[in-house]
Amino acid sequence: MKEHRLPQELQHYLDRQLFHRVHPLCLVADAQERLTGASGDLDFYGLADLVEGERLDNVLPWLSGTAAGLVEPLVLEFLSMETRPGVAHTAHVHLVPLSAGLGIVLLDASDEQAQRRERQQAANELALLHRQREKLLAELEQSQVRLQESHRRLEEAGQLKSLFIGNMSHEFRTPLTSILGYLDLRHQGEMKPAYLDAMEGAARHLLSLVDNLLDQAKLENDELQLNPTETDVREIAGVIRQMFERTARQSGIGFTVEVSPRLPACLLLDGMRLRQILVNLTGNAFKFTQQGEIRVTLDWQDARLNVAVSDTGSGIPVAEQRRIFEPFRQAGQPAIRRHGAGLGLAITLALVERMGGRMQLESTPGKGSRFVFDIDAPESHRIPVTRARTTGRRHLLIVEDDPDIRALLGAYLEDSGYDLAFAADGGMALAALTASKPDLLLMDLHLPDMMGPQVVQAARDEGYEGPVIILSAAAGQAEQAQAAAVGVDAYLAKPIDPAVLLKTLSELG
Amino acid sequence: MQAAKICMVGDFSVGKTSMVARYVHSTFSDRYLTTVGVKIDTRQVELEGGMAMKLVLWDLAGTDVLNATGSAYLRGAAGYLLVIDGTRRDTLETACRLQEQVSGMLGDTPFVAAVNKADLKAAWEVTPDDISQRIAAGWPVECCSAKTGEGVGAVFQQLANAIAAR
Ligand SMILES: Nc1nc2c(ncn2[C@@H]2O[C@H](COP(=O)(O)OP(=O)(O)O)[C@@H](O)[C@H]2O)c(=O)[nH]1
Ligand SMILES: [Mg+2]
Repeated sequence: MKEHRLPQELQHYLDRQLFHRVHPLCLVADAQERLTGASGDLDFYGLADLVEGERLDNVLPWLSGTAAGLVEPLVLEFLSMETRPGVAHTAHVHLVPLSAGLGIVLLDASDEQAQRRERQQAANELALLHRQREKLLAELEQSQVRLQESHRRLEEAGQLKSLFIGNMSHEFRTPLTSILGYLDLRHQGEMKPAYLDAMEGAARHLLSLVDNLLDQAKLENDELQLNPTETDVREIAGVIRQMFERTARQSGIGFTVEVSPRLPACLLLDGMRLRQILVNLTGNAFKFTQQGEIRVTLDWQDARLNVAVSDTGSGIPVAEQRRIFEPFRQAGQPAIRRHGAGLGLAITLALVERMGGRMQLESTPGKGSRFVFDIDAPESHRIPVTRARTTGRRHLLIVEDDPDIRALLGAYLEDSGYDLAFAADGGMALAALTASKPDLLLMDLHLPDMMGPQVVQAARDEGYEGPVIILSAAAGQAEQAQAAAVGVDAYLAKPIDPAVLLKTLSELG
Repeated sequence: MQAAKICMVGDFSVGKTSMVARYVHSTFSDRYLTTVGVKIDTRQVELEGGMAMKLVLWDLAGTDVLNATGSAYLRGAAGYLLVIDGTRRDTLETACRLQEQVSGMLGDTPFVAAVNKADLKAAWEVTPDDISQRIAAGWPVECCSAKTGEGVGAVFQQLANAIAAR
């Protein structure tokens, strides 16, 4: 079909339609971007005040930089601008280079922008949400893994605890059964010394179980306090040697305790705890060694005590080496039933760390193990004070409210060379003090009418100057401090070891 | 007075529009309103030597500049701000791509990388290590918050100084 010129009315109609839709505005500028001509809807864009010759980049700042040196038309879609404060427009802007200057065409795009924005907004928000969801999912997955892990650990801990309780009751039942069994024999005749030995062994075993449990509880609550005093480590080595000599002989295992000549006579450390560590490690070595030898070596350098306990026993696989120091565990699950509560090594490790040391374990399955540790042990030059002894038979006043323990103490000290007197509470003790003027006081911590330190204080006030030994079942830190303040010379834990009691008495004079 | 065209580039929703609103109008809105096309704003700055400069800020939409119609916006820019959202590590990766692209089109042009949303630093995915790495690569990097205004003025000032030094 041949193309016709549109009838003028139609052309006008079309122009009006286009004009209303896009509000075309054409500006013409010279090379300096000064306005030379304008045609279109100036008012719509807030540009009615433009004057010929005005610099356009003042009103249309986006011309700055953008228009310079253009060689072909540049289209800037959806350009939003404020031509006057508060009057905002969005237009498609065409910059058209002319032979002498610049043509600027603005076509309104506000409605189109609004539609476009709605779509774009939804898409962007969706993308952000999607990303947020991915992140949350990843976090969820992570916390699920953590949850499963802690669930597994709780379950394991629960199993270990019930295993432990079952194991503990077994541990308690065995020595108790043996004690009750031997006691039953008394109806059939005399108690043989061997029976009594067996009963003693069983009772001591019970005691050490209880001690371990208490230590572990203290460690878990961070209540365990060290008590460093002047200590003769050679003496402790001697105790260890004696303690395990018989076991070694019976099982045919070589056993040596070597002390380096470098070791000073007196070190400042908690001797009781060191002894406990050595007993645990050595006892442990005997449990897992069928043949060969067990060696304990003690050396000293730079204010540190270095100790090694090595055996030729079954050894510990690498995978187990860390776990054997956890409470309630032993190498290989079945071993738990065989060997005690599984607290010894956990306590030992904690004690070593508290004494400023580190524990190392070298072990080869089938060849043996070596536990090595070092602890703080500064040399002490303090010489223990000894009292001048008085001659003649000496008076000992025993203050104890429990009649059985009073009788037991009487039996222990019958042949000790002391004249014994007894009191059942603090009031009686103070009366006896003035009446019989004892040389030595052996006293329970808890008395029905007052506490031991109170009695001592009263006795000191009355002029008693002799030594005082306090006996206690469970001495707290506070009570010990109190006792020290009133001048107590020794503190012995119940149950009472007669040998220790006699030794303490003889030391105090 | 010298006028300088500055383009705001960076992934969507990193805070380009908010930084301009903070810098030009001292306002902030928590609502996210997608930018379509480009929005023009101006603000005058004092330069180090006491001279003044008119900054013409082109707030672009997201990654528009990566396509042909969008790249038209960059024409004649004197400098650009590369905006990163500290809480989204992927916006740092986008910034790296954009920087290559834009410097390819504009040649060696001053820019400053702004890690925005410093008020949410506890939730940042962009790490101090990431930032050191960018600095080592030669980027001038600044942290800021369009929400509190912290560091926003300094970012624009730094860019203006760099442009004036040309
Ligand atoms: N908390 C916080 N939010 C911000 C900050 N800057 C921007 N936002 C928010 O981030 C979202 C996107 O901001 P916008 O400026 O539109 O980002 P653009 O797409 O880069 O222009 C909006 O919801 C803003 O309120 C900031 O510094 N801190
Ligand atoms: Mg925006």
